[in-house]
Amino acid sequence: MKIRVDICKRLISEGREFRLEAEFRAENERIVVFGPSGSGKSVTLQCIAGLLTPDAGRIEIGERVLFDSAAGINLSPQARNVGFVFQEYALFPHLSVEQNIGFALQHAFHGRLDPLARERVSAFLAAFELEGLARNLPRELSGGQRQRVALARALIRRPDLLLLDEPLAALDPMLREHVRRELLELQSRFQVPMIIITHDPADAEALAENLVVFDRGRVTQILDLKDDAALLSGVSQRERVGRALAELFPVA
Amino acid sequence: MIGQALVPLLLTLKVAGLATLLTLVLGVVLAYGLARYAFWGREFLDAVCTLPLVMPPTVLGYYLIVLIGRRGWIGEWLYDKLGISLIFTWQGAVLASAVVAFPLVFKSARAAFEGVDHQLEGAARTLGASEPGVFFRVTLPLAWRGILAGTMLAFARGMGEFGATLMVAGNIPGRTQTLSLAVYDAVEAGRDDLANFLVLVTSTVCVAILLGSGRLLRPRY
Repeated sequence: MKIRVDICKRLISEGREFRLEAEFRAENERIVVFGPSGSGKSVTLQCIAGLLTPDAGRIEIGERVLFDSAAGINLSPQARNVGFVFQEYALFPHLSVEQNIGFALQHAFHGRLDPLARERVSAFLAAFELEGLARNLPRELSGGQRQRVALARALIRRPDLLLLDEPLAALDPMLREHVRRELLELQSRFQVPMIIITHDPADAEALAENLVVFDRGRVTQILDLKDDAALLSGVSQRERVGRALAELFPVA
Repeated sequence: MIGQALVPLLLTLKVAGLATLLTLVLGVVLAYGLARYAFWGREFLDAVCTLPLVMPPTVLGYYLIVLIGRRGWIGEWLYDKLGISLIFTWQGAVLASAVVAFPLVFKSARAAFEGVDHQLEGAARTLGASEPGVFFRVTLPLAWRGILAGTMLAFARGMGEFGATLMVAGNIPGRTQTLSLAVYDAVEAGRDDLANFLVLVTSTVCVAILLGSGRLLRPRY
Protein backbone atom coordinates (compact mmCIF):
# COMPACT_ATOMS: atom_id res chain seq x y z
CA MET A 1 0.00 0.00 0.00
CA LYS A 2 1.16 3.48 -0.85
CA ILE A 3 1.41 5.81 2.09
CA ARG A 4 2.15 9.49 1.73
CA VAL A 5 2.54 11.84 4.63
CA ASP A 6 3.45 15.49 4.32
CA ILE A 7 2.40 17.50 7.34
CA CYS A 8 3.46 20.29 9.60
CA LYS A 9 2.26 21.02 13.09
CA ARG A 10 3.29 23.44 15.77
CA LEU A 11 2.88 22.30 19.35
CA ILE A 12 3.43 24.29 22.50
CA SER A 13 3.81 22.46 25.76
CA GLU A 14 5.13 23.91 28.99
CA GLY A 15 6.18 27.08 27.22
CA ARG A 16 8.37 25.28 24.72
CA GLU A 17 7.62 25.23 21.05
CA PHE A 18 7.97 22.12 18.96
CA ARG A 19 7.75 22.18 15.17
CA LEU A 20 6.99 19.05 13.26
CA GLU A 21 7.63 19.05 9.53
CA ALA A 22 7.37 15.46 8.46
CA GLU A 23 7.38 14.24 4.91
CA PHE A 24 7.75 10.67 3.75
CA ARG A 25 6.40 8.18 1.24
CA ALA A 26 6.49 4.44 1.58
CA GLU A 27 5.14 1.58 -0.46
CA ASN A 28 5.99 -1.40 1.69
CA GLU A 29 3.95 -3.26 4.25
CA ARG A 30 6.11 -2.63 7.29
CA ILE A 31 7.27 0.89 7.84
CA VAL A 32 9.43 1.50 10.86
CA VAL A 33 9.57 5.06 12.13
CA PHE A 34 12.79 5.37 14.02
CA GLY A 35 14.27 8.19 16.06
CA PRO A 36 15.08 9.46 19.54
CA SER A 37 12.22 10.33 21.90
CA GLY A 38 10.82 13.80 21.33
CA SER A 39 11.58 13.74 17.62
CA GLY A 40 7.94 13.87 16.57
CA LYS A 41 7.26 10.21 15.80
CA SER A 42 4.28 9.89 18.08
CA VAL A 43 2.72 13.20 16.99
CA THR A 44 2.99 12.06 13.37
CA LEU A 45 1.24 8.79 14.17
CA GLN A 46 -1.56 10.60 16.00
CA CYS A 47 -1.99 12.91 13.01
CA ILE A 48 -2.37 9.87 10.73
CA ALA A 49 -4.99 8.39 13.07
CA GLY A 50 -6.85 11.70 13.25
CA LEU A 51 -6.34 12.13 17.00
CA LEU A 52 -4.38 15.32 16.28
CA THR A 53 -4.99 17.70 13.41
CA PRO A 54 -1.95 18.98 11.51
CA ASP A 55 -1.75 22.71 10.83
CA ALA A 56 -1.28 22.02 7.15
CA GLY A 57 -0.40 19.27 4.73
CA ARG A 58 -1.73 16.05 3.29
CA ILE A 59 -2.08 12.42 4.40
CA GLU A 60 -2.92 9.69 1.94
CA ILE A 61 -3.15 5.93 2.34
CA GLY A 62 -3.72 3.85 -0.78
CA GLU A 63 -6.25 5.76 -2.85
CA ARG A 64 -7.83 7.45 0.16
CA VAL A 65 -7.07 11.00 1.22
CA LEU A 66 -7.44 11.23 5.00
CA PHE A 67 -6.34 14.81 5.36
CA ASP A 68 -5.70 17.63 2.94
CA SER A 69 -5.64 21.15 4.31
CA ALA A 70 -5.66 22.71 0.82
CA ALA A 71 -8.81 20.82 -0.19
CA GLY A 72 -10.42 21.14 3.23
CA ILE A 73 -10.48 17.39 3.83
CA ASN A 74 -10.15 16.14 7.39
CA LEU A 75 -11.74 12.75 8.04
CA SER A 76 -12.70 12.01 11.64
CA PRO A 77 -10.74 9.24 13.39
CA GLN A 78 -13.92 7.14 13.22
CA ALA A 79 -14.04 7.40 9.42
CA ARG A 80 -10.35 6.76 8.75
CA ASN A 81 -10.42 3.03 9.50
CA VAL A 82 -6.92 3.17 10.88
CA GLY A 83 -6.11 0.91 13.84
CA PHE A 84 -4.04 2.29 16.69
CA VAL A 85 -2.10 0.37 19.33
CA PHE A 86 -1.05 2.78 22.05
CA GLN A 87 2.23 2.52 23.90
CA GLU A 88 0.54 1.66 27.19
CA TYR A 89 -2.21 -0.06 25.19
CA ALA A 90 -5.08 2.16 26.47
CA LEU A 91 -7.32 -0.82 27.22
CA PHE A 92 -10.69 0.16 28.67
CA PRO A 93 -10.16 -0.58 32.38
CA HIS A 94 -13.86 -1.10 33.09
CA LEU A 95 -14.41 -3.65 30.33
CA SER A 96 -13.42 -7.31 30.22
CA VAL A 97 -10.96 -8.70 27.68
CA GLU A 98 -13.88 -9.91 25.60
CA GLN A 99 -15.64 -6.53 25.71
CA ASN A 100 -12.41 -4.70 24.88
CA ILE A 101 -11.84 -6.85 21.81
CA GLY A 102 -15.48 -6.61 20.76
CA PHE A 103 -15.69 -2.83 21.37
CA ALA A 104 -15.63 -1.89 17.67
CA LEU A 105 -18.37 -4.43 16.86
CA GLN A 106 -20.71 -3.62 19.74
CA HIS A 107 -24.03 -2.03 19.05
CA ALA A 108 -23.65 1.67 19.74
CA PHE A 109 -26.89 1.94 21.72
CA HIS A 110 -27.35 -1.17 23.87
CA GLY A 111 -23.71 -2.30 23.71
CA ARG A 112 -24.46 -5.95 22.90
CA LEU A 113 -22.96 -8.13 20.19
CA ASP A 114 -25.00 -9.81 17.48
CA PRO A 115 -24.32 -13.55 16.98
CA LEU A 116 -21.97 -12.99 14.05
CA ALA A 117 -19.90 -10.49 15.97
CA ARG A 118 -19.84 -12.83 18.99
CA GLU A 119 -18.38 -15.56 16.81
CA ARG A 120 -15.76 -13.21 15.49
CA VAL A 121 -14.76 -12.16 19.00
CA SER A 122 -14.38 -15.83 20.02
CA ALA A 123 -12.22 -16.47 16.96
CA PHE A 124 -10.01 -13.54 17.89
CA LEU A 125 -9.78 -14.67 21.52
CA ALA A 126 -8.55 -18.02 20.25
CA ALA A 127 -6.16 -16.58 17.69
CA PHE A 128 -4.52 -14.36 20.31
CA GLU A 129 -4.39 -17.09 22.98
CA LEU A 130 -6.73 -15.22 25.29
CA GLU A 131 -9.60 -17.73 25.60
CA GLY A 132 -9.16 -18.40 29.30
CA LEU A 133 -9.07 -14.67 30.05
CA ALA A 134 -12.25 -13.57 28.23
CA ARG A 135 -13.93 -12.32 31.43
CA ASN A 136 -10.85 -10.85 33.12
CA LEU A 137 -10.28 -7.13 33.46
CA PRO A 138 -7.16 -5.57 31.88
CA ARG A 139 -5.56 -4.95 35.29
CA GLU A 140 -5.48 -8.70 35.87
CA LEU A 141 -3.34 -9.36 32.78
CA SER A 142 0.41 -9.45 32.21
CA GLY A 143 2.11 -6.95 29.88
CA GLY A 144 2.26 -9.42 27.00
CA GLN A 145 -1.40 -10.37 27.40
CA ARG A 146 -2.43 -6.72 27.45
CA GLN A 147 -0.58 -6.14 24.23
CA ARG A 148 -2.33 -9.06 22.57
CA VAL A 149 -5.70 -7.64 23.65
CA ALA A 150 -4.74 -4.25 22.20
CA LEU A 151 -3.69 -5.85 18.89
CA ALA A 152 -6.83 -7.98 18.69
CA ARG A 153 -9.05 -4.99 19.52
CA ALA A 154 -7.49 -2.90 16.73
CA LEU A 155 -7.43 -5.69 14.12
CA ILE A 156 -11.00 -6.91 14.59
CA ARG A 157 -12.24 -3.89 12.67
CA ARG A 158 -10.18 -4.90 9.59
CA PRO A 159 -8.27 -1.60 9.47
CA ASP A 160 -6.63 -0.41 6.24
CA LEU A 161 -3.54 0.47 8.23
CA LEU A 162 -2.31 -0.43 11.70
CA LEU A 163 -0.33 2.10 13.70
CA LEU A 164 1.81 0.89 16.59
CA ASP A 165 3.30 3.41 19.00
CA GLU A 166 6.40 1.83 20.61
CA PRO A 167 4.71 -1.58 20.82
CA LEU A 168 7.69 -3.17 22.52
CA ALA A 169 8.80 -0.47 24.92
CA ALA A 170 6.47 -1.49 27.76
CA LEU A 171 7.49 -5.14 27.54
CA ASP A 172 10.03 -7.20 29.40
CA PRO A 173 13.26 -7.37 27.29
CA MET A 174 13.00 -11.18 27.40
CA LEU A 175 9.69 -10.95 25.62
CA ARG A 176 10.68 -8.55 22.86
CA GLU A 177 12.28 -11.02 20.47
CA HIS A 178 9.20 -13.21 20.74
CA VAL A 179 6.82 -10.29 20.12
CA ARG A 180 8.82 -9.12 17.07
CA ARG A 181 8.22 -12.54 15.53
CA GLU A 182 4.54 -12.35 16.52
CA LEU A 183 4.17 -8.99 14.79
CA LEU A 184 5.70 -10.38 11.58
CA GLU A 185 3.33 -13.31 11.74
CA LEU A 186 0.29 -11.08 12.37
CA GLN A 187 1.25 -8.90 9.46
CA SER A 188 1.32 -11.79 7.03
CA ARG A 189 -1.85 -13.34 8.46
CA PHE A 190 -3.97 -10.17 8.39
CA GLN A 191 -2.27 -8.61 5.37
CA VAL A 192 -2.44 -5.24 7.06
CA PRO A 193 0.20 -2.59 6.44
CA MET A 194 1.83 -1.38 9.63
CA ILE A 195 3.63 1.72 10.75
CA ILE A 196 5.70 0.89 13.80
CA ILE A 197 7.38 3.48 16.01
CA THR A 198 10.50 2.51 17.87
CA HIS A 199 13.71 3.91 19.24
CA ASP A 200 15.31 0.47 19.53
CA PRO A 201 17.64 -0.38 16.59
CA ALA A 202 16.93 -4.09 17.16
CA ASP A 203 13.24 -3.50 16.32
CA ALA A 204 14.17 -1.62 13.18
CA GLU A 205 16.50 -4.41 12.09
CA ALA A 206 13.91 -7.10 12.64
CA LEU A 207 10.81 -5.40 11.30
CA ALA A 208 11.58 -2.68 8.76
CA GLU A 209 10.89 -2.89 5.07
CA ASN A 210 10.91 0.88 4.97
CA LEU A 211 12.87 2.79 7.53
CA VAL A 212 11.87 6.39 8.17
CA VAL A 213 14.32 8.21 10.42
CA PHE A 214 13.08 11.16 12.49
CA ASP A 215 15.23 13.75 14.18
CA ARG A 216 14.04 16.94 15.88
CA GLY A 217 10.72 17.08 14.10
CA ARG A 218 12.01 16.25 10.63
CA VAL A 219 12.43 13.17 8.52
CA THR A 220 16.16 12.93 7.91
CA GLN A 221 16.31 9.71 5.92
CA ILE A 222 14.06 7.17 4.21
CA LEU A 223 15.45 3.76 3.39
CA ASP A 224 13.86 1.10 1.26
CA LEU A 225 15.23 -2.17 2.53
CA LYS A 226 13.26 -4.39 0.23
CA ASP A 227 14.80 -3.63 -3.14
CA ASP A 228 16.18 -6.56 -5.04
CA ALA A 229 19.72 -5.34 -5.58
CA ALA A 230 20.47 -5.67 -1.92
CA LEU A 231 18.99 -9.13 -1.71
CA LEU A 232 20.99 -10.29 -4.74
CA SER A 233 24.23 -8.94 -3.37
CA GLY A 234 23.73 -11.23 -0.41
CA VAL A 235 23.67 -8.52 2.24
CA SER A 236 21.09 -9.33 4.88
CA GLN A 237 18.47 -6.83 5.98
CA ARG A 238 19.89 -6.84 9.46
CA GLU A 239 23.28 -5.77 8.18
CA ARG A 240 21.85 -3.07 5.96
CA VAL A 241 19.82 -1.50 8.74
CA GLY A 242 22.77 -1.81 11.06
CA ARG A 243 25.04 -0.03 8.64
CA ALA A 244 22.50 2.67 7.85
CA LEU A 245 21.96 3.38 11.54
CA ALA A 246 25.69 3.39 12.25
CA GLU A 247 26.10 6.02 9.57
CA LEU A 248 23.32 8.13 10.99
CA PHE A 249 24.35 7.92 14.61
CA PRO A 250 28.13 7.43 14.53
CA VAL A 251 28.59 7.83 18.28
CA ALA A 252 26.07 5.16 19.18
CA MET B 1 -44.64 12.47 67.61
CA ILE B 2 -43.78 10.19 64.73
CA GLY B 3 -46.56 11.83 62.75
CA GLN B 4 -45.15 15.24 63.57
CA ALA B 5 -41.77 14.08 62.32
CA LEU B 6 -43.11 12.27 59.28
CA VAL B 7 -44.48 15.33 57.51
CA PRO B 8 -41.20 17.31 57.56
CA LEU B 9 -39.22 14.13 56.84
CA LEU B 10 -41.20 13.33 53.69
CA LEU B 11 -41.04 16.96 52.57
CA THR B 12 -37.29 16.99 53.18
CA LEU B 13 -36.77 13.83 51.15
CA LYS B 14 -38.87 15.26 48.32
CA VAL B 15 -37.07 18.61 48.34
CA ALA B 16 -33.57 17.15 48.69
CA GLY B 17 -34.29 14.45 46.09
CA LEU B 18 -35.55 16.87 43.44
CA ALA B 19 -32.79 19.35 44.22
CA THR B 20 -30.21 16.57 43.81
CA LEU B 21 -31.69 15.54 40.48
CA LEU B 22 -31.50 19.13 39.28
CA THR B 23 -27.88 19.59 40.39
CA LEU B 24 -26.93 16.21 38.93
CA VAL B 25 -28.07 17.10 35.42
CA LEU B 26 -26.74 20.67 35.47
CA GLY B 27 -23.57 19.78 37.35
CA VAL B 28 -22.59 16.94 35.01
CA VAL B 29 -23.20 18.98 31.88
CA LEU B 30 -21.24 22.00 33.17
CA ALA B 31 -18.45 19.87 34.63
CA TYR B 32 -18.00 17.98 31.36
CA GLY B 33 -17.87 21.24 29.42
CA LEU B 34 -15.29 22.73 31.75
CA ALA B 35 -13.21 19.56 31.89
CA ARG B 36 -13.05 19.03 28.14
CA TYR B 37 -13.13 22.44 26.48
CA ALA B 38 -10.71 25.25 27.08
CA PHE B 39 -12.34 28.66 26.62
CA TRP B 40 -11.89 32.19 27.82
CA GLY B 41 -13.22 32.64 31.36
CA ARG B 42 -13.27 28.93 32.14
CA GLU B 43 -11.74 29.25 35.59
CA PHE B 44 -13.95 32.24 36.38
CA LEU B 45 -17.02 30.14 35.59
CA ASP B 46 -15.58 27.39 37.79
CA ALA B 47 -15.20 29.88 40.65
CA VAL B 48 -18.79 31.11 40.25
CA CYS B 49 -20.07 27.52 40.27
CA THR B 50 -18.09 26.80 43.44
CA LEU B 51 -19.14 29.99 45.25
CA PRO B 52 -22.17 28.46 47.05
CA LEU B 53 -19.75 26.17 48.89
CA VAL B 54 -18.18 29.07 50.77
CA MET B 55 -20.87 31.75 50.90
CA PRO B 56 -23.27 32.03 53.85
CA PRO B 57 -26.58 30.38 52.90
CA THR B 58 -28.42 33.52 53.91
CA VAL B 59 -26.48 35.48 51.30
CA LEU B 60 -27.38 32.86 48.71
CA GLY B 61 -30.99 33.08 49.82
CA TYR B 62 -30.88 36.83 49.35
CA TYR B 63 -29.44 36.43 45.84
CA LEU B 64 -32.25 34.02 45.06
CA ILE B 65 -34.88 36.48 46.29
CA VAL B 66 -33.32 39.15 44.08
CA LEU B 67 -33.57 36.74 41.15
CA ILE B 68 -36.88 34.96 41.66
CA GLY B 69 -38.82 37.20 44.04
CA ARG B 70 -41.97 38.81 42.63
CA ARG B 71 -39.97 41.91 41.81
CA GLY B 72 -36.89 39.86 40.90
CA TRP B 73 -35.22 39.74 37.49
CA ILE B 74 -36.60 36.33 36.61
CA GLY B 75 -39.40 36.23 39.18
CA GLU B 76 -41.23 39.21 37.72
CA TRP B 77 -41.30 37.61 34.27
CA LEU B 78 -42.41 34.27 35.75
CA TYR B 79 -45.24 35.93 37.66
CA ASP B 80 -46.44 38.20 34.85
CA LYS B 81 -46.28 35.65 32.04
CA LEU B 82 -46.97 32.36 33.78
CA GLY B 83 -48.49 33.38 37.10
CA ILE B 84 -45.83 31.44 38.98
CA SER B 85 -44.22 32.59 42.18
CA LEU B 86 -41.59 30.44 43.83
CA ILE B 87 -41.28 32.42 47.05
CA PHE B 88 -42.75 30.60 50.09
CA THR B 89 -43.33 27.37 48.14
CA TRP B 90 -41.68 23.97 48.38
CA GLN B 91 -40.51 24.44 44.80
CA GLY B 92 -38.61 27.48 46.03
CA ALA B 93 -37.05 25.27 48.70
CA VAL B 94 -35.94 22.87 45.95
CA LEU B 95 -34.24 25.72 44.14
CA ALA B 96 -32.52 26.93 47.32
CA SER B 97 -31.27 23.42 48.15
CA ALA B 98 -30.12 22.90 44.57
CA VAL B 99 -28.03 26.07 44.57
CA VAL B 100 -26.42 25.23 47.89
CA ALA B 101 -25.68 21.61 46.92
CA PHE B 102 -24.60 22.33 43.34
CA PRO B 103 -20.82 22.76 43.93
CA LEU B 104 -20.61 19.30 45.50
CA VAL B 105 -21.79 17.60 42.31
CA PHE B 106 -20.01 20.01 40.01
CA LYS B 107 -16.62 19.79 41.73
CA SER B 108 -16.53 16.02 42.00
CA ALA B 109 -17.85 15.57 38.44
CA ARG B 110 -15.18 17.86 37.02
CA ALA B 111 -12.44 16.02 38.91
CA ALA B 112 -13.90 12.69 37.78
CA PHE B 113 -14.01 13.73 34.12
CA GLU B 114 -10.50 15.14 34.27
CA GLY B 115 -9.33 11.85 35.75
CA VAL B 116 -10.40 9.95 32.64
CA ASP B 117 -7.39 9.29 30.41
CA HIS B 118 -7.72 11.11 27.05
CA GLN B 119 -6.04 8.18 25.37
CA LEU B 120 -8.99 5.93 26.21
CA GLU B 121 -11.33 8.33 24.43
CA GLY B 122 -8.91 8.46 21.49
CA ALA B 123 -8.79 4.67 21.39
CA ALA B 124 -12.60 4.52 21.30
CA ARG B 125 -12.63 6.97 18.37
CA THR B 126 -10.12 4.94 16.35
CA LEU B 127 -12.39 1.95 17.00
CA GLY B 128 -15.25 3.77 15.32
CA ALA B 129 -17.29 4.90 18.34
CA SER B 130 -19.37 8.03 17.68
CA GLU B 131 -18.91 11.04 19.96
CA PRO B 132 -22.00 10.20 22.09
CA GLY B 133 -20.74 6.60 22.06
CA VAL B 134 -17.37 7.71 23.43
CA PHE B 135 -19.13 9.63 26.20
CA PHE B 136 -21.62 6.94 27.23
CA ARG B 137 -19.41 3.88 26.75
CA VAL B 138 -16.06 5.18 27.99
CA THR B 139 -16.04 8.60 29.67
CA LEU B 140 -19.19 8.32 31.81
CA PRO B 141 -18.63 4.71 33.00
CA LEU B 142 -15.14 5.69 34.15
CA ALA B 143 -16.32 8.90 35.84
CA TRP B 144 -19.65 7.83 37.33
CA ARG B 145 -18.34 6.66 40.71
CA GLY B 146 -16.89 10.10 41.40
CA ILE B 147 -20.07 11.75 40.14
CA LEU B 148 -22.27 9.49 42.26
CA ALA B 149 -20.19 10.14 45.37
CA GLY B 150 -20.60 13.89 44.81
CA THR B 151 -24.32 13.41 44.21
CA MET B 152 -24.75 11.61 47.51
CA LEU B 153 -22.94 14.43 49.30
CA ALA B 154 -25.23 16.88 47.55
CA PHE B 155 -28.28 14.95 48.78
CA ALA B 156 -26.96 15.02 52.34
CA ARG B 157 -26.23 18.73 52.04
CA GLY B 158 -29.70 19.32 50.61
CA MET B 159 -31.28 17.49 53.53
CA GLY B 160 -29.53 19.72 56.01
CA GLU B 161 -30.23 22.96 54.17
CA PHE B 162 -31.47 25.71 56.48
CA GLY B 163 -30.48 29.28 55.74
CA ALA B 164 -31.25 29.69 52.05
CA THR B 165 -34.45 27.64 52.40
CA LEU B 166 -35.64 29.83 55.25
CA MET B 167 -35.02 32.98 53.21
CA VAL B 168 -36.69 31.75 50.04
CA ALA B 169 -39.38 29.34 51.19
CA GLY B 170 -39.99 30.43 54.73
CA ASN B 171 -40.88 28.08 57.58
CA ILE B 172 -44.49 27.06 56.99
CA PRO B 173 -45.35 23.81 58.81
CA GLY B 174 -46.70 21.19 56.41
CA ARG B 175 -45.75 23.23 53.35
CA THR B 176 -42.15 24.40 53.44
CA GLN B 177 -40.99 23.26 56.87
CA THR B 178 -38.16 20.77 56.28
CA LEU B 179 -36.43 18.71 58.99
CA SER B 180 -33.80 21.27 59.87
CA LEU B 181 -36.44 23.98 60.20
CA ALA B 182 -38.63 21.68 62.28
CA VAL B 183 -35.71 21.04 64.64
CA TYR B 184 -35.30 24.79 65.09
CA ASP B 185 -39.02 25.20 65.85
CA ALA B 186 -39.07 22.26 68.25
CA VAL B 187 -36.13 23.63 70.22
CA GLU B 188 -37.64 27.12 70.26
CA ALA B 189 -40.93 25.68 71.57
CA GLY B 190 -39.05 23.69 74.25
CA ARG B 191 -40.19 20.34 72.84
CA ASP B 192 -36.98 18.43 73.49
CA ASP B 193 -38.43 14.98 72.77
CA LEU B 194 -39.47 15.98 69.24
CA ALA B 195 -36.17 17.78 68.67
CA ASN B 196 -34.21 14.70 69.78
CA PHE B 197 -36.18 12.46 67.49
CA LEU B 198 -35.77 14.78 64.49
CA VAL B 199 -32.05 15.13 65.13
CA LEU B 200 -31.67 11.35 65.36
CA VAL B 201 -33.46 10.83 62.04
CA THR B 202 -31.38 13.49 60.27
CA SER B 203 -28.10 12.19 61.68
CA THR B 204 -28.85 8.59 60.73
CA VAL B 205 -29.65 9.43 57.14
CA CYS B 206 -26.58 11.66 56.77
CA VAL B 207 -24.16 9.13 58.28
CA ALA B 208 -25.53 6.39 56.01
CA ILE B 209 -25.02 8.60 52.97
CA LEU B 210 -21.46 9.53 53.93
CA LEU B 211 -20.53 5.87 54.46
CA GLY B 212 -21.94 5.04 51.05
CA SER B 213 -20.12 7.83 49.22
CA GLY B 214 -16.87 6.93 50.99
CA ARG B 215 -17.17 3.39 49.62
CA LEU B 216 -17.74 4.70 46.11
CA LEU B 217 -14.67 6.90 46.19
CA ARG B 218 -12.26 4.05 46.87
CA PRO B 219 -10.12 3.46 43.75
CA ARG B 220 -11.19 0.50 41.68
CA TYR B 221 -9.06 0.15 38.58
